[in-house]
Amino acid sequence: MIDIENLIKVYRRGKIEVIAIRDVSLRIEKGEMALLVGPSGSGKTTFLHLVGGIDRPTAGKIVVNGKNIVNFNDEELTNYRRKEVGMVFQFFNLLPMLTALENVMLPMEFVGVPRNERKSRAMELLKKVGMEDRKNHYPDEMSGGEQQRVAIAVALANDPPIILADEPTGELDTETGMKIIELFKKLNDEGKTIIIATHDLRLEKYASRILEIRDGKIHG
Amino acid sequence: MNPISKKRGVITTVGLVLAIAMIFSSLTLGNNMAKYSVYDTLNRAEYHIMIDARISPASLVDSYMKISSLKEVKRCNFIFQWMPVEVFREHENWTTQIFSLTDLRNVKLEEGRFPGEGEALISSRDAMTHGVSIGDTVTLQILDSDDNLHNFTVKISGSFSGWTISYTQIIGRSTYTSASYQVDGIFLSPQTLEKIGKMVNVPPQQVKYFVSLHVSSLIKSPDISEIRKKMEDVEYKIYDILYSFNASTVQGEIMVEPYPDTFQTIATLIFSLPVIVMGIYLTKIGIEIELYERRREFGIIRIRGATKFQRFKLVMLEFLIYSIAGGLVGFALGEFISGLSNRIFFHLPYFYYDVNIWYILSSVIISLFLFFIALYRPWKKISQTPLLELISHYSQTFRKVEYSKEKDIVWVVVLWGYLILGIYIFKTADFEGGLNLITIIAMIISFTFIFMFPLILVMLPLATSRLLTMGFHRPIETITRGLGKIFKVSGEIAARSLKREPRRTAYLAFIIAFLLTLSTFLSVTMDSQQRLEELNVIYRVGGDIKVYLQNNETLKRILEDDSLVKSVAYVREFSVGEYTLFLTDFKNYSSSVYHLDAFIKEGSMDRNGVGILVEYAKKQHLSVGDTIYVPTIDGGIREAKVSFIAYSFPGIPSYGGMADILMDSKDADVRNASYAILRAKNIAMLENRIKEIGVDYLSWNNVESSDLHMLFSFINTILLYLIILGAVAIFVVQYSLYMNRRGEIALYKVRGAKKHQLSLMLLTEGGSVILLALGIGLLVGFGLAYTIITLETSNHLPPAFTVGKFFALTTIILVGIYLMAQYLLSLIFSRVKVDFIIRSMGGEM
Repeated sequence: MIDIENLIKVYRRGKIEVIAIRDVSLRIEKGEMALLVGPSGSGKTTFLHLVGGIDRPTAGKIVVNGKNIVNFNDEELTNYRRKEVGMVFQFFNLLPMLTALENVMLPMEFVGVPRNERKSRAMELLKKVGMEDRKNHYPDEMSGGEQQRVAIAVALANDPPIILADEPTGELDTETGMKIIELFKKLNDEGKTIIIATHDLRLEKYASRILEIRDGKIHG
Repeated sequence: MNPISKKRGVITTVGLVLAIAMIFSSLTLGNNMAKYSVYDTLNRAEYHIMIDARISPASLVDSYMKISSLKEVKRCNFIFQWMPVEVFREHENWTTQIFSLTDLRNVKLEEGRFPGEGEALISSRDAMTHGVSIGDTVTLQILDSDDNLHNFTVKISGSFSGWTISYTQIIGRSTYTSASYQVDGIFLSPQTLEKIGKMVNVPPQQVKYFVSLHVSSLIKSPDISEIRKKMEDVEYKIYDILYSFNASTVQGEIMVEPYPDTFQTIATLIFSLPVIVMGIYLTKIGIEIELYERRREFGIIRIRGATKFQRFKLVMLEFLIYSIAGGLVGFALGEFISGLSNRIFFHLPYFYYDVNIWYILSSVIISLFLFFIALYRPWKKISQTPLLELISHYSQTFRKVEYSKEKDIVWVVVLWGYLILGIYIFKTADFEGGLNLITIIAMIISFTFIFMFPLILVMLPLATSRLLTMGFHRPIETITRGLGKIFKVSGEIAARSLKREPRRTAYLAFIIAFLLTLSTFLSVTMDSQQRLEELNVIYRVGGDIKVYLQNNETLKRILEDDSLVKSVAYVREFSVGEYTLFLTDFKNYSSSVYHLDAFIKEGSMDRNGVGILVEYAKKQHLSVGDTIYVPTIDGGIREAKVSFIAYSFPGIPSYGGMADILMDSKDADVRNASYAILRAKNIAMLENRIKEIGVDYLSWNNVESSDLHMLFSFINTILLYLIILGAVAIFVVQYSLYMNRRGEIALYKVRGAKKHQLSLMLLTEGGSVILLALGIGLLVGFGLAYTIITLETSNHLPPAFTVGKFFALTTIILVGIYLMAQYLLSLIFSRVKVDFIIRSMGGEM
């Protein structure tokens, strides 16, 4: 369960202050698939970064499974990113010098999972996203959809209960996008809590909840 | 024009700053070393001015006191001669000369003591001939200016065996000594002479004043030409003093003609060349990195219609400012480092900063010149890059690097082949054995080495680094995996990251390999040079002191003094035909000579056998255990077994004939030996005692050269630059690389990497390059040093190639600092703010 209270994020760009998130309070239950929709610059990515422990809020609480991650130090935040959340980006962000399999193994390596175990789990995950045949391919040898599927497998590497996806279909054609959407649905059915920031209205029918964000305020 | 960016300024000019700094450090240190040679000459000279005059004995003491009281004068001595003088004693009379001098070391006192007022010292020959003893009186008959005779009676206080008038002139590096040894005369104290002079109006007599000046008063200004003028000024002051005492025929001579050893400045510049070249290379890389990162900017202005010249103008002004600033900063840094080097390494008694407007202007002009050399290729490259390539968005994927390894393979094979062949040939060539294939090749390598040396120094690290980073990846991958295991991070990922930026990896590997090649070469050469110097001194001196024996009772007493001498080996020598036999007690010789084992190539000192030299053994095909026939001292011939073969016999000079034989003998002793090799209990005390009695001797002090200290100090300064240059190169190359990889680093963090994991991962990457470079540097450096030392070592010395403390310390410090610089950079980049980077990243990494 993710419990957010009075969340505020203010950026400073030179002399100008930009309020990216304005006093947001909401709760996302375990197993929910929440869709975060809103125009560009409305605060979707900032919200995901705050929940994902990539960024720190200016004020407010983010309580995940009973712990307020806002009070975490760097070490605790790293552990949170390792175990609790998996991030999926619009531009896939796979490491170009690693193969699909190695990209999936990487987060497990940071946690200290033994090599053999890393490999078999990575294979399992690639199979799950339908990419086992491309395991030895480098990112620039794969299509956008294939890269995004590998990126989802990367996000799932340490079996986090929460998946945060930022415009996961933004770079993909309609057909590929649909396949990714179906993959998220499958993961949600397996019990993962998923928050997806998107413009893609096709996702609405799969979501258990729609959160509309405008000028840093979330409605819904 | 773009606003001046500090980061850009630092990255593009830091190499240039170091190159300029090195140039001016070399100039300043070289000039100071040259000035030191002047200082050393002046300091070595016993006297700087000699004045000949004729003066009344009445004015002798006063003139001497007045000259001594001049502020520039450190010491003054004179030798006064008055002749002829009749001496009467009872019924005997004889003609001689009266003399007086202030430096009593010039008189060899035989008996009694030096005279006081109204006393005299007589030559032992006259004393014996005329039956004069201590306590007797003699009468001196003196002719005054009006030809009247006057008698003066003096009491004999002692006798002397001889007295010397000697003076040394130093012109540049050459020393000329004039000496006149006299056995007769009556020595009177200056006071007695003054008294006689005041009592009787005698004509002026001949006197020589020897004046030593305070060196500090001569080298106040760095202008060397002023030194002679200053000496002349003092000379004129002395003239004035002497004229005031009515002296006549006054004539002076400057006894020291110092000239600066300008070769020092040229030599320091030549030694600095590799550092200067590397500084320019680093600037080129800095410019290349900056231009590459700004290529979109150049693309856009090209699209907007800027001509080639307009585009050049755009960067021109910016680079002009960088190079002017670089020149000035480099100049200041160079002077600072030269001052620092003097404090830490040289300890020169006089040090001058060469700061003047011409040097400052030159620094800017040189900087501009070097900057444009460094700019030429990167600018040409970016100008020729297709427009579309310039404006395409940056994306880090595996870029294919245009590199053909064949050229580097040829370089590596040819240069390594040359070096290895050189080492092998120099080890085996026997130049005494006449011309053969090996000696011909050895001679070709000797003659070509001067040209091949710089080529090997630069091209071998370059080609090997490129080959092992861009051509064959296995070596660097192996190192990276090994380091990964030590740091418990993925060596695989680190290896892939290096592979992804092969050109930059090669740049870095080359720079570090080159610096480590240079440091290894310099430090091993210095270690070996020190060893060579030590061996050379041992070759000449043998033990602590080698003293040439004379029939001198005092010397005999010193040699037998247990409180001064630990052991002594007497060496008796005689020649018969081609043979020169050296007879010594082997036991005493072994305990008096240093590092005897190093000088013995084969066998050991066996009292039943003899020792021969390597060259003779080679020529006669002799080995240990063979029997030879040697002449005996009584004119016979006997059989002797060769018990050892030596490069040379320490302390025992070879006279050019190769048939030198060292033989054990109990007969060599203080009566019949030519010289003795001593090991001292107290070296300083023993040397002082030997010096006092005026016999010829050799000691470590008068054989060792001070040039080695200078060379060492300058090499240390170069090493200081290598430390800075290497650390800076790591920062320049890696900083911009990591700036481009911030996205990737941030992504590692998003995927759960902790800071220490990230910093160790980056350290694994950079550390692997440093270790690879270390391997290359050690190999090439050792090879070059070995060849140089072998070329420099003569046949009479044992192999001097030494990998010693200086090398170990230098390498540990250099590699330690390089790794530290890499680790610091890794730490900085492991702390990147993830959110900002991820947000701005898009699809780039």
